[in-house]
Amino acid sequence: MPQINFKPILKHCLLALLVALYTGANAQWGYFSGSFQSNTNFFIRDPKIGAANLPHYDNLKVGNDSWFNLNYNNEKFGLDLGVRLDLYYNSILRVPTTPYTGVGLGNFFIKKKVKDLTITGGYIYDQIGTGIIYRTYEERALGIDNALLGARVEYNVKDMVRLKAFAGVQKLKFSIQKPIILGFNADGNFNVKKVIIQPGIGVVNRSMDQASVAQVVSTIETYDTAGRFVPKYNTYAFTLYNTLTIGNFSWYAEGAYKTSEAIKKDQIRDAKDSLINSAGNCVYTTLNYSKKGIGMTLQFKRTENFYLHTSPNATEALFDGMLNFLPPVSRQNSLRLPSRYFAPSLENRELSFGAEITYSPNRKMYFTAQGSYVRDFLMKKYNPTDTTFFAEGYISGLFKPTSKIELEVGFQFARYNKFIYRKEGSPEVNAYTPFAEFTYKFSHKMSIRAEVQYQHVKEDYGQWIYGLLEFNVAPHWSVAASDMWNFKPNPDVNPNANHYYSVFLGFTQGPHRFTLSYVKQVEGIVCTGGVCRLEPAFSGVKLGINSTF
Amino acid sequence: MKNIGWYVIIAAAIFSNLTACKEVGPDINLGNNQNVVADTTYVESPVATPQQKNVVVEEFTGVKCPNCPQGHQIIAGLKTQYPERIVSVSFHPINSLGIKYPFSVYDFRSPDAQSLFDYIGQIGQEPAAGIDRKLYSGEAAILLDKSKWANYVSQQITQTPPVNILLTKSYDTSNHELTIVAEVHYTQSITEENKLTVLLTESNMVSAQLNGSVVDTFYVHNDVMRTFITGVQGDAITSTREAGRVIRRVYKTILDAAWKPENMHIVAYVNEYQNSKAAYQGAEVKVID
Repeated sequence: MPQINFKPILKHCLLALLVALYTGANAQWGYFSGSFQSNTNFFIRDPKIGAANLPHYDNLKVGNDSWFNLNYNNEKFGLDLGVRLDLYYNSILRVPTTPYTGVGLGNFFIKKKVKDLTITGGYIYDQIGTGIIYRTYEERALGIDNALLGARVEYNVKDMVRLKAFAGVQKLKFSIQKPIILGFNADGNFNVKKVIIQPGIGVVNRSMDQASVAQVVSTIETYDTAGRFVPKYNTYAFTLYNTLTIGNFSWYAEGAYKTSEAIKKDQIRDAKDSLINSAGNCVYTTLNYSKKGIGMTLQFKRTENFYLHTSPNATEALFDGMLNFLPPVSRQNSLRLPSRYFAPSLENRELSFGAEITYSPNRKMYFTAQGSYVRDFLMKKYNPTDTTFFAEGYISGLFKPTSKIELEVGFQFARYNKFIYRKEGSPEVNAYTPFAEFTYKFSHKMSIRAEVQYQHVKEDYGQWIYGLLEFNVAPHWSVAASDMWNFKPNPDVNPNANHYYSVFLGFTQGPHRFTLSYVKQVEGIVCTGGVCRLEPAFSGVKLGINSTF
Repeated sequence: MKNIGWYVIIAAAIFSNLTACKEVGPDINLGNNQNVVADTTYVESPVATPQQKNVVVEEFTGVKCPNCPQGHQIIAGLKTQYPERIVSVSFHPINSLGIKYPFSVYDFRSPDAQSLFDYIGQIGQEPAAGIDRKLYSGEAAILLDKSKWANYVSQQITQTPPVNILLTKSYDTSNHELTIVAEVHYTQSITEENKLTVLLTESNMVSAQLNGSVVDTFYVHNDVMRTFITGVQGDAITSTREAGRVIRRVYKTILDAAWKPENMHIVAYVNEYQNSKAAYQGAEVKVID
């Protein structure tokens, strides 16, 4: 009788049991996940570039922003919990000129799924359609966190229709904005043969509190009699949208309307803030076509007085009280000089067009051509002061002759109305920017990347040249040095031919990333996710830690 | 067809309720106050000497409120204790405590009183009064229970007001036209936004009042708000508010034929309206001396 060796069988059984127990325990007890992000700024005064005469340069000297996030998920019980601790010390994220200090619970939520019904309570990030009538989101780079503190109920009808209702107040730092927000959204998803239809409707009501209305009243009462009106507590915004996909074409269209209320007057030609009683509307559409090797996007947007905030009263930070997001049509460039001029969406009056074509004849070549044009919808015929707000033409070609070499060259022209977007300076800035980016891979792990950009602009700061050299040793190290040189400055804006140097060191170890950089950054518009603001010059050292678990 | 009928009924119900969605807007001075016939401002020098402080007592009351006569007595007592330094107004909001008796002579309730009650902040009881419309430390609301009135009046009466209010008037008995000249003299610089409220009250009005468990048919009502000459929340003072600034407003109004001018007073007060609603100073004069 042959002997059976039970040892390996027992070993495998024990291993399988352990795995089963571990998996079972996890299924039973759920999972924890989270992240930690910390940015520390050491401010070094540099009056030459304008990094001075602010408290953080003159005396505070150091600032830190940190977020510690912990989530718990248990699929068995359909439960999600999350909590985030926010720490701001001399933070210049919300208001770049005024340091802010505050520590507290930045986010918490409880989400429970019961069959087709999902209930969420706490701080909620959400949007309806593209966000034209409602969007709550977090954009740390710009200090935006307009989460809704409230409750949301979602109901899924046979995976074809999703109904959603929510109510709450908007978050403001570690406090709240008092106006109340209610909303309803229905999204559908239907397939008819090869046609996909994804329609949706949304309604949002914002009801101002007594104190906010009292402030609006006191503003209106300072006007001449002809400009006074009875402001509304409530505004209602409605949207109707649909995505239609047929073969290689996809067409998105959205129309939104909001009822009249006190809104900030058209600031295009009125430099001072004042209020008018007006309804608003916005139409946005995109048409996409894509097949192997070719892609095309056409965009159109018309906006009229679509100002949707918790109240029209003045706020501490630019984005406080923002209830929606108007998608921009202009291209969001990532390279340093081409990204200097960008057209964020305007709430009052805007007519914008955009088109982009990409073509890739083979794997070694990739071409992009893009154009956008933004203007007032009151044509010159009716409005002699009419000017172009923004226009951009962009072409680029990416070439990969060998597996080791990658070269991108391109050119951008931007016409930017500085008065419209920044309320300052000469109304028209024309920028001509050729650029090139070269990457050489020594091996799978080692590569070097270089960028060269030149910007010919007479009006704003004058002419720029930018160069960057970056060396990467995957997966751990990244070292870069760059200089942005205002070699031929416009003496009306800045008499000095300043250099804006940066040196960067990054180290990645698994899910942890550490960065250290010395940065000099010119004053200018900073855009993230299509939302922009003017930031003062920066000079100092930045230390970053980013970790997920 | 049956379903269509239901849709029609639902649509009609929604449509008929749309009118209910129309909101009542905030009180605002649209600059078209028909009562204002002149509005001027100037800076005087030297700056006027501050007046004695007069305390504004805004009492919310009702004819079916059993404890309200106790409130009236407290106010009468304060007027005796501080002669000519208590500027009191009785507001009768539109609620169940104000519904008149079938045998009442007057219906004192008014939408303006209700509007002010909402603006100052109801506390769910009557009588309730605001003392200089101030939110006192440790109190949850501006309107206070009657047990607290005397204490806060004694506290406020010692203050020095930053504005003087001067009221002069003329009454034409032939056409019942009342002309009011209200002057606000700033004796200190004020950064807070201010409003001026002017209203008329009537006293010695005999009408039924529940007093405890007894209805007193011959109860004498005093200081009953009759009408606002300005907006309910006052009219904004839009000029700068430095020491020496004088705002002079002239109002004209026709008195209702049912009102008795010999029993009426003109009341005015200046208050903040943004971060606080506190009244600085009150003034009161008779319509007919």
